[in-house]
Amino acid sequence: MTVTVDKPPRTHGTDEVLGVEGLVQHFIGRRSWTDRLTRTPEHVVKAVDGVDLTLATGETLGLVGESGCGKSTLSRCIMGLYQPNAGQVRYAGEPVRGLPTRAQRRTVQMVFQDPYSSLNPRMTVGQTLGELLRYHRIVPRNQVAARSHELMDLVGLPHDALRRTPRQFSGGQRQRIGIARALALQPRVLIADEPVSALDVSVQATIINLLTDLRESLGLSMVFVSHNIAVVRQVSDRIAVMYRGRIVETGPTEQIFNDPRHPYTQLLLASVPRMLSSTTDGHPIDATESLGTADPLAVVDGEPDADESPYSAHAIEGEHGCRYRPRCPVAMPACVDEPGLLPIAHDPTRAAACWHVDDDRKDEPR
Amino acid sequence: MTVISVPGSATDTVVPTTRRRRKHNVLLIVGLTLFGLLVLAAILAPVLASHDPIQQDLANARLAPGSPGHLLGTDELGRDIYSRLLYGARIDLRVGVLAVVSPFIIGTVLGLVSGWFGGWLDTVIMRIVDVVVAFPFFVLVIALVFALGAGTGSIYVAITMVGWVAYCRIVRGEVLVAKEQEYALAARASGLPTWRILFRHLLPNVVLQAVIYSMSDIVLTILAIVTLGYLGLGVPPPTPDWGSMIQDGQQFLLTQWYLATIPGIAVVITGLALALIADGLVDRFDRR
Amino acid sequence: MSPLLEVHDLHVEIPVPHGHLHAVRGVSLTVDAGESIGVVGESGSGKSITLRALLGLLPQPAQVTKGSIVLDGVDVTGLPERRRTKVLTDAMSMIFQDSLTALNPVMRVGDQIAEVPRRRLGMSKSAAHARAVELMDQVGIPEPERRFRAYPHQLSGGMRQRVCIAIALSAEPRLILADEPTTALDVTIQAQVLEVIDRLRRDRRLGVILVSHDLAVISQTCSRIYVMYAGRVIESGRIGDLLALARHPYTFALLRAVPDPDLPVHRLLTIPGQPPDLAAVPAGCSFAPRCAFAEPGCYEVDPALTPVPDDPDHASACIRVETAPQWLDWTPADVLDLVEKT
Ligand SMILES: Nc1ncnc2c1ncn2[C@@H]1O[C@H](COP(=O)(O)OP(=O)(O)OP(=O)(O)O)[C@@H](O)[C@H]1O
Ligand SMILES: Nc1ncnc2c1ncn2[C@@H]1O[C@H](COP(=O)(O)OP(=O)(O)OP(=O)(O)O)[C@@H](O)[C@H]1O
Ligand code: SF4
Ligand SMILES: [Mg+2]
Ligand SMILES: [Mg+2]
Repeated sequence: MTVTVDKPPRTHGTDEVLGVEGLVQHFIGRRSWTDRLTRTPEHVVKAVDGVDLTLATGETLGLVGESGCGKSTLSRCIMGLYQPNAGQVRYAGEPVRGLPTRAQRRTVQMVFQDPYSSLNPRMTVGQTLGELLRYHRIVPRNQVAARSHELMDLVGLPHDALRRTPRQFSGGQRQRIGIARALALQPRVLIADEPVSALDVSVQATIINLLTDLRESLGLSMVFVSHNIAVVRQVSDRIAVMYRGRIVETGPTEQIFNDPRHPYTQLLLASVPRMLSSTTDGHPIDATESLGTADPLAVVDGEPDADESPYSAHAIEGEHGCRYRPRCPVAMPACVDEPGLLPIAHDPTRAAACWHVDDDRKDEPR
Repeated sequence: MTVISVPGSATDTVVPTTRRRRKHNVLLIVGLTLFGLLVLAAILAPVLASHDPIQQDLANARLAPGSPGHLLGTDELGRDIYSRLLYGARIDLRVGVLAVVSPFIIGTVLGLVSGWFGGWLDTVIMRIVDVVVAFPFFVLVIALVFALGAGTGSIYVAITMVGWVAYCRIVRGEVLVAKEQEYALAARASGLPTWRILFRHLLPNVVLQAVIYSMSDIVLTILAIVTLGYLGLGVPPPTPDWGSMIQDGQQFLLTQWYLATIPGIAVVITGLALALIADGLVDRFDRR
Repeated sequence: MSPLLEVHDLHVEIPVPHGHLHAVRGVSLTVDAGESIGVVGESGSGKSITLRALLGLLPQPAQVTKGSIVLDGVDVTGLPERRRTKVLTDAMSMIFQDSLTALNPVMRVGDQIAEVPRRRLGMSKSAAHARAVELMDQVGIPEPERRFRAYPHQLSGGMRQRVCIAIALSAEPRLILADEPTTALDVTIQAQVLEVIDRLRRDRRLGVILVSHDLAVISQTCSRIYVMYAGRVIESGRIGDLLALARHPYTFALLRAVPDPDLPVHRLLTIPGQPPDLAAVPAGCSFAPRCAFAEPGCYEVDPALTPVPDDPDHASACIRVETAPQWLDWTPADVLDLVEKT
């Protein structure tokens, strides 16, 4: 028994609130002087390696991918916390040059992953919010307290929470405070980097519901980063699948779930543990019977060594070809050329970075 | 923006704060009391002292503690040890505390800046630190005092020039950790100006280790003054200070052990008080 | 035949500054050879402490205050401490969540696997080496000879977790205790590691206790499940029954708090409030303050784990264990009501 809430599909404007074009963020490993003497080449981690994204008003984009594929790096580049090596970030159509200006900061705000380290342990919640409200002159000084109360109401915390320091709250409550801090600046876009990964399942649900409600009531656009595909499906209108620094598939949530085009997306969807359906109930389970996870595809062996560059979760200097090739079950000779995001013939809203993009479509009339 | 209260939002109960730091912080209270008494004794020295600390009385030299009129006895020149101890506290505590304040401030600010901005600024500051650290502490202080001329003024300057590096390193290390914490990222993401992030958000979180170090640094400084006194570069005689009292008493260690031991105990008590304060501060403020 | 492991009424207390933290309050469970059982529950419900109590590896001040552990029909509770720990550790091995800290960073992984065969089973160096390579092969590490010489940090998370499994197997246990073995891994890797554990269970007729907070993972790999809340098992039964006919409101809510990857947007059920402070558990059912179905009686007696009327394998510790079946007839609209209420 599951509850499906029938809502009309939300309509979004087509105007872009956030745009990312050709974004590249490389990290160069430290070389000791012995490395320099022996001419050991620099170890370059291509954490984000050419990403294009757009986010329309009111839209929620889910960003999924394995650990280390560059999701956090991308979010931080968007927030202007890193200076990307190349590419451009646009807030509301206006390019961000260098650091975002004070006004631009107010357009895009972020909710962080770790509710335990993302709040300053030595400031009360009221101080944290008050500082932002004052510095950004969101409300006149004499209304800062009233506005803080409103923010507490918005995220469902009692007013006296303002007088406490973060350590006096549980993980879920802290994440609410983190959301209130982001909302204090009245942003149009919220970047949520794994906002529920550090939380217990039941607390997770309250935060997901809260974000969904806020999105509706405030008309926020959101980039929702997660490695949990079920959570992403729950909140997103559109999904971007990231693999080793690049987007390998994007499209509307339902279409991607129904018919993933990239082999990595297929693996990802097949690997998600699923609740055993109730149809098997009462069925006696033999000790020798396999209960193993559903799909044999999920057990493809191609799993990396951390020290072997072509197999690591991020791309590093000096490799070529499709970045999924080492693990790909359907790789072919053509894959030594890296495919860009190729449009999917029958659906202009979708694209996938695989030469097989249009092969054996499920929905193709046979 | 209108406020809509969200249906279905769980207003969880706030976690009660039952943490060990809520207990009475015995260490801190004892330490502060002890140190307070020492400071009080120093301030009230003119009232509390029974004799003039520099008044010599060779007829009554080297009296044992408990002698009539001389509570803790007299030294080799017949000066009252009790009175000298009190007046010594004035000098030693003042120099000890003051000589720690400026290296603390300079080192903390440079460490903050160095750790936060990194790059060439960090490289330059850390190279200077390396150079200072390369010399033994005392050698450098002595050389500097020698160059500047004896006296408390030179001691302040010399200790500041050498002592800031310790604070700089401690704070820089803490900043390197703290700046990767998400609360620092969050402060940057919300567009606050850098100086505000540094002094409002980072400083309170990184300064504790430096404060704790400063507690032991005060004792070290008092000992440095003792050493300088040895070389005739310290507080010029006949002004009483614990260092010169220990040094003078040393020659009589076998016959009148108390001459060196009593001021030694004063140094130990000061050290103890400061160590207790340091431990208490850790209990009270360490959030890890 | 008696089950491989039976635990009766296990209690663990941890002395804390003001009193005793009752971390485990009467847990009973059984595992057969070749059977995999799952333990779920939210953070702090006592899952890890239970496992560690089984192995006699409790963190320092914690103590088993009551209960018995029966291994192969032999009650080991009465044995002297050293002997008991030996019997238990010989029969069981544990796999931890964080494979990076569970391994020695400065020792080659192969040597870590070979250590037990060599030291405890007294094999020669070359035999132990061969054994280690064989184990690495069994847990699905490609090129085991080469990876034998790797250090933990050179392996990816999934590989490291396989190394941990190989180490657990090296002592020839009959029961594997896995404490969130895949929580730190990506889903694609998680699927592989779970597959390895499941294959070993089938091939070697190993008993497995799998702890997780992810019900879906448990439902994929275990045949029976124990749901823990605040140090107690509040519901247990065969996996299919439990998922379809959850009798305890906590299980009921937990099942609906997780988003289903196969369903489009649906409202999630939330559980308000927080679990009780285990140092001062209030009278009555410990879930009552958060329970949408609580009635006055719930605050008075703490219901025992009672078999469900027509299914002796399914038990629930809820005062409504008799009337609960009617939940099954609930329409989605009723649940939606509940969602709005919480
Ligand atoms: N400051 C940094 N310096 C060097 N390398 C970095 C830095 N930050 C990230 N990386 C590397 O860049 C890659 C991408 O990291 P990132 O944190 O963006 O991944 P992620 O997708 O967010 O992973 P996770 O799901 O684990 O959070 C990783 O290999 C990481 O080691
Ligand atoms: N060393 C310890 N000292 C004091 N209390 C402890 C200690 N270890 C665990 N506890 C407490 O015992 C209770 C049960 O902890 P346990 O680790 O078994 O939970 P868990 O179910 O494994 O949770 P998680 O999902 O977070 O791993 C908790 O309340 C915890 O705070
Ligand atoms: S391009 Fe080739 S290697 Fe890459 S995903 Fe597609 S088939 Fe696999
Ligand atoms: Mg991340
Ligand atoms: Mg645990």
